[in-house]
Amino acid sequence: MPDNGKSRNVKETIKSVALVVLFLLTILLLYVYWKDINPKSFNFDNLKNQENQKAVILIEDILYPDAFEISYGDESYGTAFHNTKELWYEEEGKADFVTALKGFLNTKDLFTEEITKEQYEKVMEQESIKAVFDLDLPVSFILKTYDINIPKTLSQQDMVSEIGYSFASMESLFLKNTEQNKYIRIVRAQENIDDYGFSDVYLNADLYAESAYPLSALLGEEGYNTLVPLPLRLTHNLFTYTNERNQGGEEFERALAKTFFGDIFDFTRIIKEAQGTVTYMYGYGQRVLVSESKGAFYYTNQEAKESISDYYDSLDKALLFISKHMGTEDAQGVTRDLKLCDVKLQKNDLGQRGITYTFCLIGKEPVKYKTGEALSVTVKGDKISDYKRDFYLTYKEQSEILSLGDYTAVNVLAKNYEDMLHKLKEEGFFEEGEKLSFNGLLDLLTRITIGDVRFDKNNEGIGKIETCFIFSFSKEGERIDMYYSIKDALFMGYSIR
Amino acid sequence: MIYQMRTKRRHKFFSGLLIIALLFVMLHTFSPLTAYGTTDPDVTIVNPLDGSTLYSNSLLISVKLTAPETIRINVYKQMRQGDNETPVAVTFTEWDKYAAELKEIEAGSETVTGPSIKVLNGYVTDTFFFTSTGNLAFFTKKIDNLTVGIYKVKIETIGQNDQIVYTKEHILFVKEKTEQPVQASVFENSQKGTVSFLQNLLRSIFKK
Repeated sequence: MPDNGKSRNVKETIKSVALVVLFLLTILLLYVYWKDINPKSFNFDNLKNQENQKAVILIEDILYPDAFEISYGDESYGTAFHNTKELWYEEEGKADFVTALKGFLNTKDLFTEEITKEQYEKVMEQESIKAVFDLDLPVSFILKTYDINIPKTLSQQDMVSEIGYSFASMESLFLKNTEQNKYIRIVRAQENIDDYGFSDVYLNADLYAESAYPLSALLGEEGYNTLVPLPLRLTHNLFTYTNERNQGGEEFERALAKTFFGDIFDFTRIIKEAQGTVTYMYGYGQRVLVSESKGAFYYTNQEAKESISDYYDSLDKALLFISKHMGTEDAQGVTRDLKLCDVKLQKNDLGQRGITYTFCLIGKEPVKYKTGEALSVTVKGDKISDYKRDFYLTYKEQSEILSLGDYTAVNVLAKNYEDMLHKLKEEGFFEEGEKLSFNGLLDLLTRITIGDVRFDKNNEGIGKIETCFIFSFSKEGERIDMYYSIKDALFMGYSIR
Repeated sequence: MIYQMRTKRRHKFFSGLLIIALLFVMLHTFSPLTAYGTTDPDVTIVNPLDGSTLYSNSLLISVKLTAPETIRINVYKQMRQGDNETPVAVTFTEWDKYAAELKEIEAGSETVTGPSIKVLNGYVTDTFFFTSTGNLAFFTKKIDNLTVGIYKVKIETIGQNDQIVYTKEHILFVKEKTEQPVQASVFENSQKGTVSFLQNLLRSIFKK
């Protein structure tokens, strides 16, 4: 009898275990069926990453200057457009700009004063280095990113597009707000002379810097300090690109769509248009993803209402959102690098707003788009209202080294200035009846760079990326970039930013 | 300090390129101040300015053209015959004396009949040609690895049949960076700084 009782217990235990296993298996099979997972490709890692979430992108990964400008103090200059990320910030304790910045600001004995443009230019003419951003960013946002104490004397609203350090005034740090034409000097009370590591950054930047001269030195016109790159040689890239839909097909599109709709994917309507555009719609259009025929993806969420958004926290949300929606992995499975390229505050009459962050993809360097952008996210309060993704995938690459011949940037300017003036007039940069002159053009010219530009796609969603001269003109917050060939100085198009 | 470190690096980097082949032409230059008749109104040497001093080893040449023309650009280092027929660079003292002698000769001096040295043009780079097709163009070139001395930038306008129609010259003095006069501090004696300090102090107190 005792034996019978024991064997019955064993049988019951086996039955219980079998029931539990069967129950779990049912759940697993239901999950596989519900999620439409191919059983052959199923593995348990998929369970862990069920939201297709990629590694979270950090703000310090995408925030760095567009250039470093060096003044050698002898009327010659250098600009570094490459390696700006590592010059800006590598890691704690390295000889980078952020570490030097941290060293300088690591005291309470700071005071600030507003200085004139002339003072700023004069002190930066001497041996100096400055980090140049293509946009104005809040100082507090930059400092918060790197856990640097915000000087109490600095306003939270102070914006900055240039951060400079001059060896002619080693106790000072200089900030420039391009849009407001405002210059700030932060002074540190110090007894001993210290450069806080800026000399190491200066020397490192010099390694990547190409020669440059102020416009005034090249043209013989006083008062134009925009630096003109004058490299001995330059690389001319000509790439052909396609888009993610061409590359990844419907499989990629579905995979991306599922990241937006998740569990409700099976309740979304899929509308296929004759031209090839596919729309995924949830409810009555509260959440919509459009997969455009030329390969761009647009997501809108009507549920996101305009509300006050914090600059830093909103960017954090935008990056988290990107990470959750395939991250920066493209249709070829390559994880792309991003750079924050533009920020636009959206205000309405009630003062509420959203913030749109635009990101560039990094090839050998950041690639600007003539039209649109690689990735942009609009944050309204806690929610994301808009997401646009238009990655390029290069498949034919040609690069050649050119020696800078007659078509220097300044000569391209001289050759094309009349056309430039007319385009600027068309876009409202000149008043009606205002006299158009070469000097009038120089007054609006804010930057000259050499960079890769992604030109528009054809009907097959294919286009070209080419290196060109980029002339940037600004007036009252409006900006226009004009592109000219570095090979023959011909006009290649323009963008309004 | 920065300059020295950078110079060291540069010297190291360009160590293989430091041998400048100075090919000498026995072109007798009577004077850097010699007038060549009328000058070309459509050609302006924007940089370097005539008689300017450069405390750097790189020179920017910028020439503005306001008419369709062809120009020839040469950069010479000013040399003289040395003791054993080897050309040597003209020193600043020798140049000052030479320039003064030329002035006296030009003024009709009876005591100075000729310059004490014969100045030769030593080529620094290849000759450059530039043709403008429009009414505004710039020739720009950066010349690196200059050494201390006196340089001449010569621009010749080339006419039909390759004839030289006009000539313009600018003299440039290249000196060591260490000789550069110290610039006055931009923020020295700034009363504004003190006032601002007090303002900031008050602001920071109220912020707390």
